[in-house]
Amino acid sequence: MSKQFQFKLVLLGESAVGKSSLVLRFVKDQFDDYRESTIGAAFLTQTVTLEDQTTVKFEIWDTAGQERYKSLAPMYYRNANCAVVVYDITQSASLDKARNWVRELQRQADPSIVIALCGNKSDLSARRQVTEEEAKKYADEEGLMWAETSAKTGEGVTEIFTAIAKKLPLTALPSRSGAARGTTAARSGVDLNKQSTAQGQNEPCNC
Amino acid sequence: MQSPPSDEPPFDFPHFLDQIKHRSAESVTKYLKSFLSNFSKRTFTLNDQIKIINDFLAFIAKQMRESISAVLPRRPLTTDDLERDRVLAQRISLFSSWIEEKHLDIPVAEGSKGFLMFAQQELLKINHYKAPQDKFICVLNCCKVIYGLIRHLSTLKEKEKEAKTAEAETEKDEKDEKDEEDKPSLSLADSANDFFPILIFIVIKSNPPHLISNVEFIQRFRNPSKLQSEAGYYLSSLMGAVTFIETMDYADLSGISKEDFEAELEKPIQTQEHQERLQPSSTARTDSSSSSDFTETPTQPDHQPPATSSGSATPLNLPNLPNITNISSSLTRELRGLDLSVGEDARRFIQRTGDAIKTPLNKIGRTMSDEVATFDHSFSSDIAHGPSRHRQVLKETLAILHSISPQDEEKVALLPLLELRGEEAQYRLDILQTIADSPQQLDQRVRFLTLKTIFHLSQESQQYPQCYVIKNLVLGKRIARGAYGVLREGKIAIGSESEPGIEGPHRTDYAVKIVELFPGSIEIVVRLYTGSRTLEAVQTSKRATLPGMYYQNDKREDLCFVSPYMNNRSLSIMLKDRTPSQEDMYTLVHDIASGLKYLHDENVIHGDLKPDNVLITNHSRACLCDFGQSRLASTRGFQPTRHQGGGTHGYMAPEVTRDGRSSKEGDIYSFGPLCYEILKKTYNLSGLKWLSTNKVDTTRPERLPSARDLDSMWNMITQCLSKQPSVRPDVKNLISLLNGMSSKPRPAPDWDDTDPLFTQVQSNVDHGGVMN
Repeated sequence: MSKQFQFKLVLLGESAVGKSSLVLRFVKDQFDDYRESTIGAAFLTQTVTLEDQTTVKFEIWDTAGQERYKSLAPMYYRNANCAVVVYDITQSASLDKARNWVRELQRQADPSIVIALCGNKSDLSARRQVTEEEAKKYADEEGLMWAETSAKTGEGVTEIFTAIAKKLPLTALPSRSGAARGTTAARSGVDLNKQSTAQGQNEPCNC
Repeated sequence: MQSPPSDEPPFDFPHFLDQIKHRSAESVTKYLKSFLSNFSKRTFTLNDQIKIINDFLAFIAKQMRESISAVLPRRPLTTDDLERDRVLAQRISLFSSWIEEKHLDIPVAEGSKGFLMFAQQELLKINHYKAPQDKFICVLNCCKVIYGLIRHLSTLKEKEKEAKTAEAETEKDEKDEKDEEDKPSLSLADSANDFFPILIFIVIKSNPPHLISNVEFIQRFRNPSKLQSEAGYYLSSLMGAVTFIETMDYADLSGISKEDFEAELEKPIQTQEHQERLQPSSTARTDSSSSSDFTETPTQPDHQPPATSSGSATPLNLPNLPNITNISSSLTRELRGLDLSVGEDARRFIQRTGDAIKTPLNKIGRTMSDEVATFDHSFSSDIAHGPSRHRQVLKETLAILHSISPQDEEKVALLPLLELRGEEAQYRLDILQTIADSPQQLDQRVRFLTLKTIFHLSQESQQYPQCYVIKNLVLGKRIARGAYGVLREGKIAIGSESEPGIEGPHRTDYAVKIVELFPGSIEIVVRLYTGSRTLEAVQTSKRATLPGMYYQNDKREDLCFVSPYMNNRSLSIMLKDRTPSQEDMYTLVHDIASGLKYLHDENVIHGDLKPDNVLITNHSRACLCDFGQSRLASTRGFQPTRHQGGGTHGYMAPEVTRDGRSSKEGDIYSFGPLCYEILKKTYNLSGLKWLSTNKVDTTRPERLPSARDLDSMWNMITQCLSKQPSVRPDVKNLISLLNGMSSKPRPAPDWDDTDPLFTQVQSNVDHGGVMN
């Protein structure tokens, strides 16, 4: 049986960098009917299957990018396994904001969190203000994953999420990761799994 | 690469109840029974309760965790949570009256009001349910409506854009870029950027009572595995919205300057009162609390023995469990409908949608209550509730109440009652309610003691009196929304069943206050109930039996208070409309003072005395209402508490404003401006400074004719307004001052014993108990 993992991914970035579009592209390209699975686009899920048939399910937590909500971010990135910090390559100021996010995550989020820096709007490279070199250099210094993407054309989108998926099971401890499907209940002190593993499939409560 | 579609069958609670009654489930029911009885025997700390309940659930879980948690005891509310609730509600109330969409950059479009109202309604329903999963569904439904709004807005925006693009090709460059940002080819913009501000807006506008407690409750008791993922996201967002509101400043809002922001915060109380209490000003506002129009019933209640199975078997946790599949699919369906019909009158579609969602729930609710009653009964069979026992307990209870002399330490004497827990407490509460509601002659003091016992026993045991069901009550339009529920018009349908909605020639006979139930609401429900019982006593020297607390229908879903519809509305509205004559003036002042005397004699502090809270009966008599702020002074476990955001500027004593503690002296202070308002209108005076600044201006207004009574009246008012609480007269002084005046109040009207308003209600009530 192939392994299944579930991870919490939080999306951070200024409000106009297109982080929501990026995720919608990722989710929608793969799964047209995504709306059936969640009630709206602020929270989405998407599953990536790796070459070894391991499946990684992302729970994607979008955050409001407006400055005024910045202080609420910890409520979203708490217990996150990975974070995608998005900036707009046509706005150098958005990279500065991204740096702030990265700094905050490094200081306050789970130490094992995987952070990916993502330069969106690569289709608008004519108006580029942030060079690839600059961003890459910064990412390397901070030990971040990095890629440029275009939510508009879809370029680089699936790749970055797949890359995160590959990196995750290796860096995150399974117990912290929300873990495989059958054992998702193991969050708090109550251990339901001993009995429920066998019956998990029949669990009648579907809410 | 797809998420596997969920093929687990939806949860079916009635089916579950069938299953659990089956012989093969005997071991489970045995454990459950033993757990329930042991749990109610002791008081545990919050953390212990959480642990005990969760451990038990873990133990018994296998396939039934959520269903079980719906019938488990609910008292894990901490005073901390309640305090946070209060602080939050108070803070939100500072904003809710004036904040607009633009302040949070929420676009406004035709039809969006409807969505917003709908979403608020859904969020407010959180207090209607008891099980954590139901509460959560309310949150989720609210979010779904928000998404409906976002989609609606983006559809409109799309159209607008198309129209614009056609005429403005030149700006295309600019537009391309913008499209990129918020309107990608994927044509959806329902991201957190759009979602979150609307959620905040909804929270502010709806100000759901006990929001934090509810969220904490969901988080503590909902199956942890269900709290991950989407549920976790929306609960976090809700808490995020709360956190935002808790620290919100002008800089966090758009389109408002620091000065304007502060100015808005300065006037919130008046504005809020105005919005909540007077709206809409064209209709009457009455409270559950009072009526002098009701009188004693000539009819004796039916002397039926209580149904042995249901006399006290109504479980405290009669849950209205929504079938999850039903609720979400019907909501989805309705949202689709909404998309098509948003242009229509918002009220209509809200109505329609609300009904559509409610219908399946009601059906399930009914099935459930029957089932649960049986279910519960099987556990309580060891407690006999036959008619003979009922009478015996009733006698015993009355004996205890009568045995207490005014000198006794009430708490000690009542201890045998107050120590009851669980089903026994429930049973005793029902008995007490029977006594309180009894149309028989009952000593005033015993009646009040009964109510106090109900109050304290409810608090301690976390049960509330099983209420009577009022049949054939037809609800009409909403009059107002208050802190604890919605006030609606109502009438008793006679003969054939008529459709809800009062139109045409029908008279509105009653004001029906529908109470929102939520964890911890027991205190408030009983307080309102106690308030209404107290008031009725205040208003008539005779004993009166105003209908008390009822379930609105036999589904026992909504708890309500029924009081007569007062055509003359409140004192503030009356004063706007007409000028009281001099005789009216004395009568009104006298009525208010008598009401206050009654309260103070019984150690009840009103806490928010002002013209809005003085109702005028159809006989133009004044009675006090709205005990939302009232306190029982210095009785068991109920010290005068910190002010909870109530009270009204201009009527609040300086020390109450400052220290936030209401007191009898504070009530006396408020009596001053209240009398002045009546005086002012009668003599066409202009306002005095102290109404707004708390600076007492003792100069007698010029236009006040010089007459003995008026001089005494003026003196009385200025005494009430003394800065030093200790030098203010007490209520007895007030009464003797008033009695010393030569003008006398009109005698109280003779009560019509056969007032159809009362007999109608009386004959439509299912009495749960016997009174011998």
